[in-house]
Amino acid sequence: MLQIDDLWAEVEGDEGPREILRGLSLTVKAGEVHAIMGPNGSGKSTLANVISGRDGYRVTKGRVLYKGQDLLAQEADERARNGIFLAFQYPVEIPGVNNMYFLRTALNAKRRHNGLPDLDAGAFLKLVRAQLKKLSLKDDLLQRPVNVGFSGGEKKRNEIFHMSILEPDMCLLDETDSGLDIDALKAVSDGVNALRSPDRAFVLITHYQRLLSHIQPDVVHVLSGGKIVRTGDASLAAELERDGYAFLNQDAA
Amino acid sequence: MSAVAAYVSAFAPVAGEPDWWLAQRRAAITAFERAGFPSVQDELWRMTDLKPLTAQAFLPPQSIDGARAAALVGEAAGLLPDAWRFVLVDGGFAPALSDLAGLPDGVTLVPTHSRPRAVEPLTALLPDGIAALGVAFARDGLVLRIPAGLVLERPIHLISVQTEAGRGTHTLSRIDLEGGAQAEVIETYMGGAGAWLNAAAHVSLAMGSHLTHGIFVRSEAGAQVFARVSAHVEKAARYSASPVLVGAQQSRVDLVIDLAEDHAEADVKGLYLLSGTQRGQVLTEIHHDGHATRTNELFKGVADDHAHGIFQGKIAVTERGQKTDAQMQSRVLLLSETARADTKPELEIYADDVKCSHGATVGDIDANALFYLMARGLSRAEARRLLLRAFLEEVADGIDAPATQAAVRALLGRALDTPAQEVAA
Repeated sequence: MLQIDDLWAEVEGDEGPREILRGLSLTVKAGEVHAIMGPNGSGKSTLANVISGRDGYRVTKGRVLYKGQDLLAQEADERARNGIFLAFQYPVEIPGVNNMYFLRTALNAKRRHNGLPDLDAGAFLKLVRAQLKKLSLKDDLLQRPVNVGFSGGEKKRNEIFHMSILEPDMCLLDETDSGLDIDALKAVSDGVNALRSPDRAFVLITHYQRLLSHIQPDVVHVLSGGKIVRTGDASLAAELERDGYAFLNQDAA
Repeated sequence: MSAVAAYVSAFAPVAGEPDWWLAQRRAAITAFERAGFPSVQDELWRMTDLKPLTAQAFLPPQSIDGARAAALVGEAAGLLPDAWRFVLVDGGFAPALSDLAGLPDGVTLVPTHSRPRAVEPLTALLPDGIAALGVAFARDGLVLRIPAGLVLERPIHLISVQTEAGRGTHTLSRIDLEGGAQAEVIETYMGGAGAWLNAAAHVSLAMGSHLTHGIFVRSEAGAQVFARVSAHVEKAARYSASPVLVGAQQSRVDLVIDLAEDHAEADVKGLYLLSGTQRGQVLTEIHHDGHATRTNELFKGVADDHAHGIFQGKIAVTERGQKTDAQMQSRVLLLSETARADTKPELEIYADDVKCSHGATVGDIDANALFYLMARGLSRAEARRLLLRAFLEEVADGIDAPATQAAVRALLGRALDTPAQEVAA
C-alpha cells in the first residue's frame, strides 16, 4: 500500500532549509500496523507531514508510492480523498467551523471523488451517532466548532472519530498518545482496533510504548537521524521501553 | 465641460414639486457648485477613489429597464423572503415591485416624494459636495415612522436598484422610531454596471426604541455606491447598524451616530468581502454625549487580489459622556500580497471616567487550519471558503435581530458561492 524508497526531505525554516529525513525507506502492506518510534527530533513528525502533503517540506531525493501511484505529485486534499488520513499530534482549533458540518463536507468530498452520491443529512446523522457511541464521545462535540474548547483527550478522540467516519485506507497517527490519560488512551486505542481490517494499514508514530500495549503492532521501527535504524516485531517496543534509546548513541560511538 | 458644470447645467425643476422643496434643492446645487467634489486632501476622503466621480457626470436616468429592475429586485428580495418591501428603481419609488400590504395601523411608510419635509435634517446638513449633490438631485427615498411602543413583527426591506449604466441616482430617506418602538430595516443597494448610487438617510430614535439597520451593498462590476447615515439616539435607545459590502467597484458607507442622551447605545457589526480591484470603505463616527452610553463595534474585512479595504472608526466622548463604555474591534484578512487594508481607529475623549478600547489586526488565513481541512479532503478553494465564512460569520453571530442576521448570512453565502447546506442537529 505504501512504499517509501530512500526518502530525503528538508523543512523550510526562518534560517533556511534544514534536512530532517536522510534516506528513509519503509514498506507498509494492507492490513499491517507499523509503529515508528524514536527519540525527539529523529524525524517522526516530518515523515507524517511529508506523507500527508503539508506545505513547508521539500523532498530532495527518493520516492513515495501509495497504491502504486506517485504520492508526492498529489496535493494534500487529493491524498486525503485517495484514502490517506493523518491524525494530528496537535489538532487545530478552528473557530466558527462546525465540527459536524466540516465532517460531512469532508465525507462528501471523498464520496464524490469515488463516484458516490452525497450522503444526506439524515443518513449522515445516523452514521455519526453510531460512531460517537463507540468512541464514548458526547453529542455536543458535533455542534461545537472544530476542536474549540475540547480537552486534549477530546481532541484526540475527535481525530479518531473523523477517521472512523472517513474510513481511510492508510491511517497515520502522529503521537496520538501524547497528553492522554488512561481512559482516553483506551478509547482511542479501542477506536483504532475497531478499524483494523485486512484492507487498511496503520502507521503509529509514537514516543512511548504505552499506546502499543493497547494496539498490537505487526512491525516496530526505530527512527533516528532521519532514517530507520532498526526494525523488529512487537517485542522491540517492549525492549525500547525497558532500555530506552541509549543504544542509538552506542551505535554512533 | 467639467463634471461639476455638467451637473449644474443639468439641474432643473421637477414637474409638480413644491416650491419650498425646489428652493432646498436650488440651495444645494449652489452649495455643490461652490464646494465641488471633496478633495483627497480631506482626511475623510483621502482613501476614496474620487476619479470615477469627477471624470464624468452621472446624470439622472432617462429610461427604466423594467425587466432588469424586476430581476435585480427579485435577487435582493431573496435575502429577506418575509419582509415588507419598499423598492426604488433608478431612484424612484416603484409601487408595483413593492409589497407593503398588512403594515400595522399607525406605521407610516411612504416615499419621500410625498413628504419631502421629512428629510429636512439632511438638507440642512451638507457636510460636503457629495451630500449637497445628493440633495440637489434627490429623487425619492423612504419615510418611515413607527409609533410609540410598536414592535414590528417583520423587517422592512428597502431595495434600491439602478438599471441604466453610467447614470446616477440620489436618494434621501428618513426613519423615525417613537418611544419604545422596535424595528429591523435593511437597505440593499444593487447598482448596475457603471452606475452611481448615492443614498443618504437620517435616523431618529426616541427613548427606549431600538432599530436594527442593515446597509447592504451588492452591486455589479463598475458600480459606485455611497451611503451615508446620520443617527440621533435618545435616552436608553439603541441603534444597531450592519454595513455589509460585498459588491460594487467602490462602495463607501458613512455612519455618524450621536448617542445624545443617557444610556443610549450603538452596535456596529459590519464587514467587507472584496476582490479584483474593488475598494470598500466604512467610516463610523460615534459621539458619546450622554451619561453611561455604550458602543460595541466589530468590523471584519477580507480583501483578495488587488482589492483595497478601508475602515475608519472614530469614538468621540464629550465632557458629558462620563461612564462611557466603548469597544471597537477591526480585524482583516488579506488573501494576496497585492491586496491592501487600511484600518484607522480613533479615540477622542474629553471625559475622565470612561472605558474605551480599540483593537486592530491584519493577517493572513491560518495555514495550519487550511492544512487541517485539506488533510481531511477539502480542496484548497473549499477549505479557504469555509475559513473565510467562519471568520466573517462572527459578525453575523453578533447581530441580535434574527431577520438581519439571516440576511447577512445569506449574503455571505452568496458572496462566497457556497451552497447553503443545512446540517440537521
